[in-house]
Amino acid sequence: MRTHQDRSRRTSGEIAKARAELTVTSDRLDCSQDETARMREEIMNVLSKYMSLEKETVEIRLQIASRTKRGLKDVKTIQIK
Amino acid sequence: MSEVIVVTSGKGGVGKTTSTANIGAGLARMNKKVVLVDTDIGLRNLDVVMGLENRIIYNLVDVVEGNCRIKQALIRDKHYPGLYLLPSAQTRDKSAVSPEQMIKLVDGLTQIFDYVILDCPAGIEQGFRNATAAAQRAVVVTTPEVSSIRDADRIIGLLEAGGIKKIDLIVNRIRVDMVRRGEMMSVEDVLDILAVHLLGAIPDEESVVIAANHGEYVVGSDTLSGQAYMNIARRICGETVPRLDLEAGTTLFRRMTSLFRRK
Repeated sequence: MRTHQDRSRRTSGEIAKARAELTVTSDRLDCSQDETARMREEIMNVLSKYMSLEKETVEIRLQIASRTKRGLKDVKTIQIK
Repeated sequence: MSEVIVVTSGKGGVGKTTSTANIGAGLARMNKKVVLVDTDIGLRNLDVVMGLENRIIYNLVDVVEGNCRIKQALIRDKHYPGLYLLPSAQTRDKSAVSPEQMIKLVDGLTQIFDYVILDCPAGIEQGFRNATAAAQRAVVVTTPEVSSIRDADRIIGLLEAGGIKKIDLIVNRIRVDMVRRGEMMSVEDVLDILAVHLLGAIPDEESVVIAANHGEYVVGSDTLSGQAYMNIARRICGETVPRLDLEAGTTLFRRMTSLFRRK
């Protein structure tokens, strides 16, 4: 949610970067931004069962490998903040 | 050894054709033999950008269909004797050429030229598949906007899946003043998101539009964008060229004030 306060603090360039990162991530994962957020939440919950984490300092990287029709391997590393 | 490079972007209007023309001219300035191929069948653009629209007799489809020999369809540039254009057909559609025919055509061109540069149509349909099928290397053009970055990312994924090993990025239409105010993504921001090798950044300058109006190149002119394209051409040839200072045109006073504003 973008509040008025948020808007006045961030420049439009920063907002654009955040939006571009989100759309690119959800395109690569082929799942919506809401789903990505939920996935992040769930992964964080699982991880915090076994180790103590501070949510802000954790970076989740997801590596997706798939086989394309030509038999080539397409590996993408996706960072979910 | 000749190299086949596709210039692509996904989104339309980000400067593919202008970049193709200026990279070609830059390579020609380095005494390379270069052919620029307009692969957008049905929507001919590159000839106009190069100022060669009145010289077209045969086109790419004529060559593919055997109506003429390759050399008959090639048009020599007005300024650079080593630079040629293979124009696309205006009255045909995308389905007139298959990827196999494109590969065969490009094979013929590599016999004659050092660099074969394919100007790819917007979109990810047949025109894109044709152009990328024949290429070993890709240059992806984007602007610092959310929409074109998203499309560039899609295109990069498709190029990787298509087996293109070398993919470089051009960030076009950077406005340093806006970046300084924080109202535009910087080149670094774009690179953070797309994570590909940067070939060069082109400032958004009037000179690019004015040159295109005349059917001329900015490369070779004393402008920042001209220098930026020349640097890109040199990097394509394997030279290591330091990054151009896009703020070179701004005054010391403005640079100082922006330093303070950045807190």
